[in-house]
Amino acid sequence: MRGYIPDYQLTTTSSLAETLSLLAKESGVWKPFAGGTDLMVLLEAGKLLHRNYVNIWHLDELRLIEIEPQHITVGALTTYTDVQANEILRDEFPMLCQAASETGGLAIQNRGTLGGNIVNASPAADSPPALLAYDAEIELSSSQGSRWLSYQGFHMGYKQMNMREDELLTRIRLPRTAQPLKHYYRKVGTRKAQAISKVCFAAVARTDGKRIDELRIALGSIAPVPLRCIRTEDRLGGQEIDQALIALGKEALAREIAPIDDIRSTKNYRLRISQNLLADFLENIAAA
Amino acid sequence: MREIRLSGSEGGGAKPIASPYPYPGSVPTIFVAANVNLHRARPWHRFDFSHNLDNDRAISRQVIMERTKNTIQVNCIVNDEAKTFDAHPMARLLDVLREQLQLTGTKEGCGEGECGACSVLLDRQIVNSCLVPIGQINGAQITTIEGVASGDQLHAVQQAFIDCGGAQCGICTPGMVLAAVDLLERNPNPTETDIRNGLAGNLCRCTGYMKIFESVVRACKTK
Repeated sequence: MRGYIPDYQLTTTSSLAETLSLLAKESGVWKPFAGGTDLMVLLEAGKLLHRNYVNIWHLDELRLIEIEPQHITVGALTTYTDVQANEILRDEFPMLCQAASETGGLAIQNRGTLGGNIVNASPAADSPPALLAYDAEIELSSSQGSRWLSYQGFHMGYKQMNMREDELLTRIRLPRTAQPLKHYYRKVGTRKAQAISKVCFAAVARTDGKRIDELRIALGSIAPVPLRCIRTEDRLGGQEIDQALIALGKEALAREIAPIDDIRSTKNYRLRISQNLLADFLENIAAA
Repeated sequence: MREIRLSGSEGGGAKPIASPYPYPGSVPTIFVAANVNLHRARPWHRFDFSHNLDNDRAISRQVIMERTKNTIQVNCIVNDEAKTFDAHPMARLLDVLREQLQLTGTKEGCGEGECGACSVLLDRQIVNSCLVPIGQINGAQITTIEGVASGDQLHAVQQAFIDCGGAQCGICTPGMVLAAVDLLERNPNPTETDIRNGLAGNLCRCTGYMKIFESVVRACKTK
């Protein structure tokens, strides 16, 4: 049954500075409310435990895509629709755009934000694996200033994040590279639209024909957090792709991820699919 | 007066009750047995809806509370008409449209952003009104299904839904029509894939989608 609406508060501030000062002044009391595509679902189910929210949807300074020579900065309130519409993102970070296009339907993509997808901290979210594979950085702001940190390691446990209660995720930075990368993104769900992932696989690689010079792999829905698979990368990096290496990679991946049985899938299916996707990815970059 | 004993009470304990019948001895046995049953198990409690009545009362109390406690004043434009109303900032746009503005064309399906039945255009973008809190719509421009036709003149999409049999039970139809209107506004000549993607967030349990798909194709031609 739906949460009792009068128990909740949604206050609107006039600026980012005012939002940050409210988060600092009454630390832990207020949480940010952006597109609402996750929070309103919990409210409807009567499972929205936190009561007081500060509306940040209208803070346009957090809804931007800035192109710089070294990196592209995306505001935390940039929606999935905004992400897909940007030509340079489509060109250089296609996995992020693909993740955006495969999250929910259009109505969700018009409201769901990239920052919200990160701080909602669902292990099944679709954009975090792409962001991890692109080695993104995130900016956390508070009334005392802001800090940039690597997105990798930001999720410390199920719904646990390396951020303070007075901090707000404000921007995401994606490093650009001149070297040609191969991108591989696959979301496995029950159906094409709207489904939540059973497994989400994102990987980029740079190869010289056969040898893997650079490699980053990240998966969703196979651990309590979106996971960058460093140990599997180490096992594969610098080697030439052949069937033996693919088998080694599958073995390393099985040791690194920790899938579980839940309503959407089973542990065994997730493990098998993750390994198959890794094999498919490696065969793809070897063939290209 | 004749006394009736509750069955199974021979030899003990149960309090005899007085027969309600005016003619002692005229009550058929079977009737007595049923009557006795009434006082025991109430086997038809499964068909007793009185607990639902209580729930309904609780819900209407909740609705009243939602409308009066901690409300904010909201100004927005709904179907080209300026509206001002009070509502709780966490109230769903869907409920306010239906219950306060009496725009009941917008339907509630799943209530969790999966089915698209509650789709409306918010600042010319399709959204699920069940996921939009009122606290975020001040100054916004909203188009519901009631605002799609201009006067008596149906929108090409609406006419196409009629011509192609794109509507059956009607619950998904307002959302489908708005999703199609939104699609054609962004992309007047959509490909098959564009149409499928444009409607991907809207579920229909009647038509099997083909007639809806054909309606959109027809609307593209007649527009």
